[in-house]
Amino acid sequence: MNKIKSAFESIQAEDALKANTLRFLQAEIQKAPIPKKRPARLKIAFMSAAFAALLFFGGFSYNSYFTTTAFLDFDVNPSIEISVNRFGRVIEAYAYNSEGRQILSEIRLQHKTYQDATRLIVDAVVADGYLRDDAMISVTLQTAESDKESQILADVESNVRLAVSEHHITPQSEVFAVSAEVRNEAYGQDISPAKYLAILELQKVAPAATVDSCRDHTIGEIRALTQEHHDGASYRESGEQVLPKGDDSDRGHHGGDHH
Amino acid sequence: MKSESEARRAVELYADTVRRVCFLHMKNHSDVEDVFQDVFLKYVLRIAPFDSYEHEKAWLIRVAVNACKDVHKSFFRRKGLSLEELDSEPSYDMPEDSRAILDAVLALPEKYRDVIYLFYYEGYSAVEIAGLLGKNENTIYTWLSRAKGKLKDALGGDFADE
Repeated sequence: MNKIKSAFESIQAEDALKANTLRFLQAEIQKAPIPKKRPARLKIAFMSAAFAALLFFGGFSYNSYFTTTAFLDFDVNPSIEISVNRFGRVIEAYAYNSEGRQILSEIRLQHKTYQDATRLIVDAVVADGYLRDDAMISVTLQTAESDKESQILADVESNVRLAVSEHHITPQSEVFAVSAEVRNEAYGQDISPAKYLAILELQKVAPAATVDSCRDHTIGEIRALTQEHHDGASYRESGEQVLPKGDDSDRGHHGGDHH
Repeated sequence: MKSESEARRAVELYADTVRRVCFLHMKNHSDVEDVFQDVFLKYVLRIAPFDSYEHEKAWLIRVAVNACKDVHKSFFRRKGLSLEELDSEPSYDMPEDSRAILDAVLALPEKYRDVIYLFYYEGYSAVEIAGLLGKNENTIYTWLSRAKGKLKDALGGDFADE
């Protein structure tokens, strides 16, 4: 055993730490009515008080809190949409595919600010190995509140950059606004707006391409294929799949889940 | 969500591994508890099956490293919550040379500590570490080389000898 290995061997989890963790997990599994986590000290109290004051002075009502004013869609290949209210808080998260569901099972987004939610989503897709140097993250915003659009876009862009820089990776990223028509059409096809737009671009050069043949592929793959067609690559008109199938059966399309 | 018995198995199997990752990054015990809860809750909530024991362990290490980073990024830690520091790491009983080695590892820049641990203790290759940490292979080779150099300066050339 090398000396470093021998030294690290001395570090072991304390029995009390393991016991506390197990008690916490048991409570979580049994849905016991105890706090899910040890309270995060002053932070929760401070944020709760600030939020309560904001709601009180802002003329809070149930309806206004639970009314969506903006949709933010994140696509790496985990594809996730968060619905944001007028207070900038996440009121719903939706996964377009199984990878998205996996990410949503690992993080809690409800009632977080869209800025925090952005960082949490990016952290999770990096932690799960989806977002790396050679990958791309596309984020779209659809909101009817045009006065807030540029601010939200800037916030999301800066938080994406912050999150990826903290992981010391430099993937491609793009953040842009889409119309309600595009977002609704994409939602109806159960794909993100960014992927929907990428497929529309592909269909211009490869008319036989369909949403179903592309939905399991990343936006980067779809754009690469579009570029290949632009560059004169042959396209099979035979009706076969437009893109090669991924080798991971878990990447197949699944209906999204609301969280 | 996984069952209680699966949670118990994971804690028994991987608690020491997660603890060592925490040791590399955390200075107080309450943060360690936070990380433990985060990591094993994510494990319990994970739906997709693991391909193998190695896949499961690598996933837990990656989640633990990121959970530690999350604690460092939190608002109160950035601002410095001095009372927290009172709840410091417990001291471990170990030979003097082991303590010197761990002190030297902890004196390394944070990003080097993980690669030293993963390379020398867990036995991962640089390529595997790159995949595990989501980094470029060349980056890992560079970090590993620089970390070894710093340890050599601190401990002498035989720090990794059998």
